[in-house]
Amino acid sequence: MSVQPIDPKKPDLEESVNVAEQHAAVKNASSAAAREQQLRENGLEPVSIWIFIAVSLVAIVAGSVLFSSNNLFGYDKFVKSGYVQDDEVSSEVLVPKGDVESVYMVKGAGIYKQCMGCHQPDGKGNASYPPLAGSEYVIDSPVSVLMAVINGVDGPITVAGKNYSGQMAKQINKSTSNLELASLAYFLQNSFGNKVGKIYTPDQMEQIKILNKDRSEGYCTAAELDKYRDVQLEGDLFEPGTIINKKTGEVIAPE
Amino acid sequence: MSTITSPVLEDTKLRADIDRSLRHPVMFFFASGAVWLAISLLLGTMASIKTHAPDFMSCCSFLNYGRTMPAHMSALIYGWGAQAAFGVIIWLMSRLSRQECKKSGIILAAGHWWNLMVAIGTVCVLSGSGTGVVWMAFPQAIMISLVLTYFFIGIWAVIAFRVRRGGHIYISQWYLLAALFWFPWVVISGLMFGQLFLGDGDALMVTASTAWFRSALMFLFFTPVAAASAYYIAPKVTGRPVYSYHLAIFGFWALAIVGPWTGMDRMMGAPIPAFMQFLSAGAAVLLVVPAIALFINIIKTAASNKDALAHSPSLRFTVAGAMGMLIFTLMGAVMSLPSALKYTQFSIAQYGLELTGLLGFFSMCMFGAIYFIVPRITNREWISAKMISLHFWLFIYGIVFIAIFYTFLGGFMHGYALEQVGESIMASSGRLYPYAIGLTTGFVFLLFAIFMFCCHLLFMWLRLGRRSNHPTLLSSHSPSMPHGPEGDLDKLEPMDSNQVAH
Repeated sequence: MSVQPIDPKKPDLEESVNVAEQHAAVKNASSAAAREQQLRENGLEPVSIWIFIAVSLVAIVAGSVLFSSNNLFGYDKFVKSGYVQDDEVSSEVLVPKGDVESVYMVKGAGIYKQCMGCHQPDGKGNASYPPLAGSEYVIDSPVSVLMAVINGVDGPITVAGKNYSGQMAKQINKSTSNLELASLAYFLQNSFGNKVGKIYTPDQMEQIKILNKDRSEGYCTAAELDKYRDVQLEGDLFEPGTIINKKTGEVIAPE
Repeated sequence: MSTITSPVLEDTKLRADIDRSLRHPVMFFFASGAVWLAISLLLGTMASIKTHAPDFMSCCSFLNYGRTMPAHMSALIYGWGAQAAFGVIIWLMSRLSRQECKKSGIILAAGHWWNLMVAIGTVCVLSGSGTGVVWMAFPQAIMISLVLTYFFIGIWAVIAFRVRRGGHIYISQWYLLAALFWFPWVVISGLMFGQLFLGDGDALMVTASTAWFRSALMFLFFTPVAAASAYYIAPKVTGRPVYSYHLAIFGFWALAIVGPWTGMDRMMGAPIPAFMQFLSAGAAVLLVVPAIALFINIIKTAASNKDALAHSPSLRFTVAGAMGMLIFTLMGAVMSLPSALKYTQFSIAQYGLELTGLLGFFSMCMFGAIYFIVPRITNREWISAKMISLHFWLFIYGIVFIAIFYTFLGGFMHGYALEQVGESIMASSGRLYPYAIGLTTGFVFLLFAIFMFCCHLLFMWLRLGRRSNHPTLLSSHSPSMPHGPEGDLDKLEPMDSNQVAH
């Protein structure tokens, strides 16, 4: 915006600027700002009674929500009754159950995945690893096979008429449950052509744990395992077709 | 220029000077915010498609639901929401305080840094190194950097208020000043108690803190900024005073008192004292009160000038935003009733409600403000009324569809499906299928709308807007001149103030 010289036609004006042009220039440079309206702040319409009523209704609802909790400052009773599903309603549907043979087979097959690398999926082993199919240590007693699994085996051993020499590390840890041990024993004794058919209960596995406590630390040897082949578990076996809880192994009584 | 003699012109010049002083940072915030909004909606669409077609683009791990979803929300909140709010805050505060901004360079630099941080954060989330905390998915260093950057942006608005001219403090200034102080409080608290001060395994604390953080950010930052914009645009464009100023003040205090108590209703049933959850559920219902105050005031003010309501894009978006707030809080209230929480607490209803609030209420008000502010700071008029109209209607279709179909029907159906204990989780997901498709459909509408908006805004940023002294209005005055008489800027003609006061 060049500043205009004094207009010779308007000698009375002392300003060096043409005012009208300057005003127009401001308007042109900011036409959006120029057309704006003033913000007015004196809105004093009386507030309708309906707004009061609406606000009161909202407040009543909010209050009833707040005090629908029976126990505002309690930690113990933080779940309001009727809010979560009742145990009675859900327990029947939620408990996973099945007949003991299939539960054991599925569980045992899951555990056997760790063993598959050496003993092969068909349980026949290979030149360096002994077979489980037809193995006297598997068939004769659950104690010998489980002790081998629990402690590992070291040294020469004869399985199904063939000599093997090597070492097997212990395969399970302390957190392995009785249910899992029973499942594994059942699976090994009834797969790969083995047909023992005894369904051990998880409780019987306690006997193996007691036996294991009595022995000294370290790998089992063939001689020790041969001793266990003669040990049989005491107590009642599961009847075929017993329904058990898949998670805990507890027997579920038929209705 | 000391030659300005008329008070009206002096006023105009002051406004124009304020606009000019802020044009770079404000325009930068709006333009980059709009781009982040587009990015966020693209990521949201991707996440939504993944819920009904899991194999779509399964080649790229960064496009998985678990990464696109937090990236989408983070880009929406920190990329678009915060930046749009910053632009509105600094411009509106300067205008209302009648002070030019002297430090726009610092704000612009801080804005660039903010964008860099959001970009790095989004890449981190997409590459799998996000925190996994809802609404705070960016790595902690990024979040801390964002908070520090905020102070370089927000402080100038506080200073503008401190050195304001004129005695009266307008209601928008109340809201803006509150938002300026609440934002750091909410984010720093959320960050400290949700992440920084926690050891491993404090899952309950993380969940509770972020539940509060999400609600607090929504109601103590996004809501007051949107309300400030609405209380400015409606009286400004119509030229009428706010319907009831007392009601506006009442709405402000109602929000200030109720807002901080919300959020814990999402923790219903968690092992925290019961009063927290029930207080939050009650507060969620009480939020309808400030919404009623805002809604009545904006609608009554806008309705006092039917002509402006029909023609002004800013006013149309603002009125839609005020309706959005009422609908948003009503939905939130219904979903927070203890009997309904059973269905909504863990279902898609929560995400749908967040979308409804952020897009249907906050973004609508921000669009209104942007359509008002941008012609002033660029000194150009919007290019096409058609594009504005398309933006408005496509956005409305998208968000109304998401709010009703996905959030409400889908939310309750999902909650019902999850309650069916005997049913497998796959079967309950199957019930969700039509609503997942519905969300994608809604997102496609939103994407088209934002494409219009983004292009339009970027053209304005490039100074390609119309040079005219007639605003771009929504209904054409004559078939030959779709924007009304063009009006040559060099030969200024007298204006009918009622007709073109937009």
